[in-house]
Amino acid sequence: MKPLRLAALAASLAVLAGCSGGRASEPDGLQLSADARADYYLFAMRCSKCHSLARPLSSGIDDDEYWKRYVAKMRRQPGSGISAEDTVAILRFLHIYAQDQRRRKGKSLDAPSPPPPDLDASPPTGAP
Amino acid sequence: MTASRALLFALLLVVGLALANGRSAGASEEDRNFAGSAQLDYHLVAGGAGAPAAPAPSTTFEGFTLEAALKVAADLSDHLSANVKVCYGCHGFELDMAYFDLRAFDELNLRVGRFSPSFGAFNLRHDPANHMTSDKPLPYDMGRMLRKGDWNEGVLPSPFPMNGAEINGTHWIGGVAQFDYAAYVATGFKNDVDANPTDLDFQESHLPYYVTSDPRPASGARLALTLKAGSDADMTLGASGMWGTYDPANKLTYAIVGGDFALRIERTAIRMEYLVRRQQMDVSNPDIFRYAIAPVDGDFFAKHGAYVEVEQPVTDAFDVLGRVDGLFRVGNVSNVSVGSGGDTIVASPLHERAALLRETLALAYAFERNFRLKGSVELWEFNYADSTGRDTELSFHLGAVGSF
Amino acid sequence: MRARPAIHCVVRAIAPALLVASAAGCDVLDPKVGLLQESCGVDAVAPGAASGEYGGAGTTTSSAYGASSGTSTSSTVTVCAPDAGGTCDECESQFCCTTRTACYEDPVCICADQALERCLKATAPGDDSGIDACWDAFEENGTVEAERVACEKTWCQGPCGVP
Repeated sequence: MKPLRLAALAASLAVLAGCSGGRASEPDGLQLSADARADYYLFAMRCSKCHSLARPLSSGIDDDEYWKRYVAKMRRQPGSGISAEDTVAILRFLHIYAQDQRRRKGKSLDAPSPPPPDLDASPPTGAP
Repeated sequence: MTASRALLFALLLVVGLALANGRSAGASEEDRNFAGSAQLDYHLVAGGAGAPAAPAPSTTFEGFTLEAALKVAADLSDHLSANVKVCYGCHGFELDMAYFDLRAFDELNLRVGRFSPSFGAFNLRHDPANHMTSDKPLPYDMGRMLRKGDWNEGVLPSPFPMNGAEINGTHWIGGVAQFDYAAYVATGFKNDVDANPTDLDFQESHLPYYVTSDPRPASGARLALTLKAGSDADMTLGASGMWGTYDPANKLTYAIVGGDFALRIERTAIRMEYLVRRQQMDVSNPDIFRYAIAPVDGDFFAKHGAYVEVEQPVTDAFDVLGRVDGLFRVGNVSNVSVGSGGDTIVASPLHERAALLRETLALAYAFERNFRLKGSVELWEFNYADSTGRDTELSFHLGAVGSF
Repeated sequence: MRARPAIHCVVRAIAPALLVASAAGCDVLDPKVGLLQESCGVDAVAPGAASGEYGGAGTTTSSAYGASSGTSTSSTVTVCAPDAGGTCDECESQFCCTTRTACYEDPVCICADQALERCLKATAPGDDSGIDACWDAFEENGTVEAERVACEKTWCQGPCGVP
């Protein structure tokens, strides 16, 4: 009976795994372009490995420089899987999200889009 | 390590940190970030304490439990940050974290203070808001497993905060592989209560008085490699080890070794870990043991634990998790409950080869982004019967967790 | 990709070490236990009880040392009737009755006694180091065992083959 039960559990999980659950939909009804949606998808993939998306999306952070430091900090977490290239797309999405957050809070939207990290130079984390 | 080598290492570390400081773009404005979570869980065991002729209720916690935490993270400069986390749970308030991170560069970070040293993969997600079940995999269980009094918890109950220092770092190889490493010295676990210590006293290790009679620190290390396969998949393979002594006389050793593997394909996560703890016992009083002491290899036991789980988001708000985990303990058994001081002798129901297998099916539904309901059903199978003759149990969890 | 050769090197370096470690590790993680102490039933040492008929795991049919036919366990003077078990039994009955009775009435010692018997049976005659090891293990098992060995060494070393 036990092997049968384990096999049934494994089979149902395999079926569920096949149902990928779709890609995560945009947060808070944020309307994203196709390119931005791809950035959001990468953000959702990388930033839900160790915690839920609620953690970054509900952090209240609406400053691009702060996001730059925070993503660098998360990138250093063991097993994060966030490469330098991933950082570019993630920060691009977070810039849009931060703008939306500022708009909702009634803050100025004038903060310019930060230049993407220069991948040819030293990484933004200050490594030699 | 000789004194001269220790001095040279410290000097190199100071020089490295000074060089890194000189290159920094200047201290940034201090940033603070608050985060927290709270989980209320109700645990029901079918045929449990409420049933007639049930086993002693102290062997399993049923009913409501609350776990709450508040964390403050402060980035004091480009290279210095502080983290403090206070938890509230079954033991009341505890300090889960209070440490500084001094980072020269990504490959070299010094952590000092109170923290859970690097071991395995699960502990990074031990906060109830970060995993889909109300309880933890059996190797890392702390207090929620059935018959916990028989087993004295899992292999390495999580979290395991200790006072100490850790050097860690991460290095990317070509943008497709991330190599993580850590090595630490910390207070470790203890058992200062029992006259003849035979196991770690996890409760004593986590409660004040935080200092230990055993001055020799525990030590350990972790290595892990994460490989990326495009934007949709990655895989992590890790190995961890910890070693220390736990008795006041500094003679009884424990060693914990583990391996972990995680695979992520799109939003499907497959995780598995294996841990084993080799635990030396004080066998100077043979009368307290269930079996006669073997003259060779009779002074230790080994506790193995493993889990494999698949986590699958079905919709944006709905997640399903299936897990199979178990514990296997081999070796002599003490009839004295850990932490009782040695006065109480109650025949342990464990055999020399005691085993437990659990199968879990869990569902989690996020009503709001920050608020989730968790429910699970667990089938427990033991290779020994309890005092009522049961070797199979069914238990249920229903919980709610919020985070910010 | 640059990562691939590096990974191959790492795997080639680690694999043999893992194989050796796992072979060695099996011993390191394989503790041994003796007899179930509860199974060496105390009821088997009631006065007049036959020797060697114990319940539970690890039973033996007879003990080399014979049964005690003595009196109350609370008495410091126990009378053992000599039995026909052999010269060792007779010697022990005459000179070491008290320590023998104490051992049979102790749940730990009675199991150790059975273990000693098995150990001696498994040791080849003339294997002095093996015999020494059997007696050392018995003597080190506890104070009751040590007292019994001390008495036998003093009074019955020859008849009982105590080293």
